[in-house]
Amino acid sequence: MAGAAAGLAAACASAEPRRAATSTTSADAPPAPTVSTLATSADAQPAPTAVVAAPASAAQSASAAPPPPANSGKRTLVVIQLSGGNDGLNAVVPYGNGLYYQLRPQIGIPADQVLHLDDQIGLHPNLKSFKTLYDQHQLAVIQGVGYPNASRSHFRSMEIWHTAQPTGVAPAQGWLGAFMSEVYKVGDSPFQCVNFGTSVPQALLTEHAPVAALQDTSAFQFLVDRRLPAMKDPLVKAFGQVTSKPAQKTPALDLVASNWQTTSQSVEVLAKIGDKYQTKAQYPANPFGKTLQQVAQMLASDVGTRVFYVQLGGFDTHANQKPAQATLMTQLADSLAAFQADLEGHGLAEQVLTMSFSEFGRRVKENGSQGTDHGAAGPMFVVGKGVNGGVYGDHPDLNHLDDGDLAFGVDFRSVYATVIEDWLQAPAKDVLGGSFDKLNFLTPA
Amino acid sequence: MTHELGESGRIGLLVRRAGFAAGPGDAGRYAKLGWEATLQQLLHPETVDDDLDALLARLQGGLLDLQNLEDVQTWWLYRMLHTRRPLQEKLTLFWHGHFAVANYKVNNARMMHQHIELLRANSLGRFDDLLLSVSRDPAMLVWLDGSVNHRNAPNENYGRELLELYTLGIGNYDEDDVLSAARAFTGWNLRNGEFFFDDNNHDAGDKTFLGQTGPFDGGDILRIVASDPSTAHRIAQKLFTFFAYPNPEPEVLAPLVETFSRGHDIRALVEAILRSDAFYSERSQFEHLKSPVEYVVGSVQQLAATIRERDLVAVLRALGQDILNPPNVAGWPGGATWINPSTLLTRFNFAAHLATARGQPGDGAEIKPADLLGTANLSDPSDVVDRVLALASGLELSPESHQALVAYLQSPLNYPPGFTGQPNAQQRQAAADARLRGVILLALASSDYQVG
Repeated sequence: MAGAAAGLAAACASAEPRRAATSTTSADAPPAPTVSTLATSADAQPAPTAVVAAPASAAQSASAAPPPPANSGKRTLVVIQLSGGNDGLNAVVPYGNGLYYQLRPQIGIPADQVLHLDDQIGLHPNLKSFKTLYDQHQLAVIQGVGYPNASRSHFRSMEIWHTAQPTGVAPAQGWLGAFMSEVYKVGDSPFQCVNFGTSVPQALLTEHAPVAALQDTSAFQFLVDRRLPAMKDPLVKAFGQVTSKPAQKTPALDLVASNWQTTSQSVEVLAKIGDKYQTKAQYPANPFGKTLQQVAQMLASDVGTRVFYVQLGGFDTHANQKPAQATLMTQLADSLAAFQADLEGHGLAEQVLTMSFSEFGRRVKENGSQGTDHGAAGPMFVVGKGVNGGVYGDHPDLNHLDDGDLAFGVDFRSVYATVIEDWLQAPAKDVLGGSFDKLNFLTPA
Repeated sequence: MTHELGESGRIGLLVRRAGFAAGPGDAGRYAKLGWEATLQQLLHPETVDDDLDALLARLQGGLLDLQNLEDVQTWWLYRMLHTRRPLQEKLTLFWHGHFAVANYKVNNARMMHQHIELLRANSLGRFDDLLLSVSRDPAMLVWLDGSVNHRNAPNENYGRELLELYTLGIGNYDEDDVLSAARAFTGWNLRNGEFFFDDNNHDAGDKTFLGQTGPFDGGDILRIVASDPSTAHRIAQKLFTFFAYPNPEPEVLAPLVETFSRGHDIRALVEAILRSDAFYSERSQFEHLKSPVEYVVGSVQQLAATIRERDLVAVLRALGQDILNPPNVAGWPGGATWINPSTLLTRFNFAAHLATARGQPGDGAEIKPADLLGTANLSDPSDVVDRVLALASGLELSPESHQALVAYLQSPLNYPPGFTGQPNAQQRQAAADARLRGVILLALASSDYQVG
């Protein structure tokens, strides 16, 4: 991990974490050696940073990705979906702006409770663990992330984030599915892409790679030996036949058969990892924390995962938002902090990057029930030792709302492109179907 | 191989989809009735005697405490497993997925129970009546914040999902329509846990909604959306997909939309679906992935299993269909999303649990393979396999898979570890029973059984 370690040293050596310029667009141009030469920092752009580049420049962008270091195969991305529409304005609070308190007389977070990042913005009081990570330059806050003509529908907006396709008919393949299609080779680990939960999100859908789905790694086994003693070999043989060769050929039956195969392989691999893993951190006792602990377990067991997908739900706070969001902020930050500490304890912190997103932020003006309705742009959080800690993108302007919503300043596909190219080291253009300016929230490899 | 279904195949498919599955007893009863009479019986539950309500009433307050969510979930599973009016229960499940009210927010088991009862009562009626009942339903008023939708600062939650999910579908309205709908429903509040119209909190001003302007209230909005062509299209498509297969062809959908458009009669729409050729087509036979409820309730019925209904609640949760707790406002997306390694493993383990349940302490369930096989010739492995496949809703496997099951049945009997010497008759029988149970497990775990 020499490259990442050097990057970390560089980040620590700088007096200040890299900050977005709030008043000028040119003062904070990226220094020469960061990422690829084509990478443009969000703050150097006046408006939405996403542009579908001309073919020539697109090709350059793809080929300009640095050659993968020897250990690039081990770099892992953990995506955390905050389902329901996280209220970004109460997560990254513009406490320095009086308008915020005018628009949110009941649910605004008092300035003295905000965890100040500078004299204008700060974090929700329950994001204390995030503040600690921020002070350690391991947290990037990307503000005002969204896309043009935001949809206020949970499903449409989620579909857009999952497929990276804001217009037209959504493709069947998700953006992470497209990445998996790029890198997956037959015979690879069944755990290249792991979803936690009972339903696989659209972001992971792909036709060319298996997606593992787990709820509890320790319970992932066929429970039959105990009840049908000594019937194992003939049973396993017949099981292989009846699951792999259905009588008909339809998409539904193909889907079942290929998932049976992944299931069997997953059981096999998990049986081998056993209890190699000992946690090195105290995780909060909630399902989200428990899930992140299982992610750490799989990372520590080296099962070859490139992408983990985890969800935290409950953000659709139309009424009585304050207590509900506060609980979720604690769960998010404390679980992630424990996860980071655990990775650190296992010497894995350099090879894991965690990124959170939500389908939309919420309406700026609170409604009549101490809640907020569906809105548009919101912040993303990126956590890890590979992060160039700081705040990226401008805080959306409360004076210039877009139909009551925050206008976006950073296109989410720019964030994806940065992660795909500079973290996962795959050609972003192939995955996203277009070129998007990258940001510089990652330390150079 | 063609898959044009004969009379018994048509009855089998009808009973599985319009209900859950037929147990060994019911299958004979439906066969005797014939397809037309079976269809009529399903469509007209009021003509079928069912003592379920009386039975459940006796359980309430004793074995079932409807203040407790798990008891309400158990109560509903009991209904699904034992009802003689299966279409009504299946449609209740459909409407539950459509309106997708979840207890994790409502947090009131009594309201959830009342909600399911309301869905059942309206499940085969006029869509307008269903919509109006749901809009005033206490669980819904909590779920989408109708109870805090105030004149001076409308809460958009119900207005938006009504248009996007319950009726028109995305793309058929704009943001101004959402706000108008929200304003029209102001004052549709709760008092003491019941619906209450709060005149003082209602915005009686003019609203423009889908091109019409007037001092609309919630009832007006419901009338407008129920009659909109996009609602007919959406409901017809969703219901067809639920019963048959996803993405139906336009020519299959068109007559269904037309049927629904005439009077918004849910029963008429369901009848048109269940009579359509498409419903019995190859696509329908081989592209319908069983939902967790179809898998669990169906297999318990087919195997005539005795099981604690309560135990099935957690199984369904692990399979991705936590009844009374759908994942979000859109309900379960269904279809391909039911299938992934986690849910398949859970299906396998549930099938193993069921197939090996001997009614012994710790089993929590019992099946009797010998009884199920009835007249099968136990010395003919092929006959035994055929009989098991017939039980599993006439499951059709490839010749190779069929042969694999026969080979499994012919593998040497196994005895407990450490066993030596000649087995006595009882030991031989126990080992043969274990092998039989293995065949049942393999049938339920087969890829083919997940579809159909």
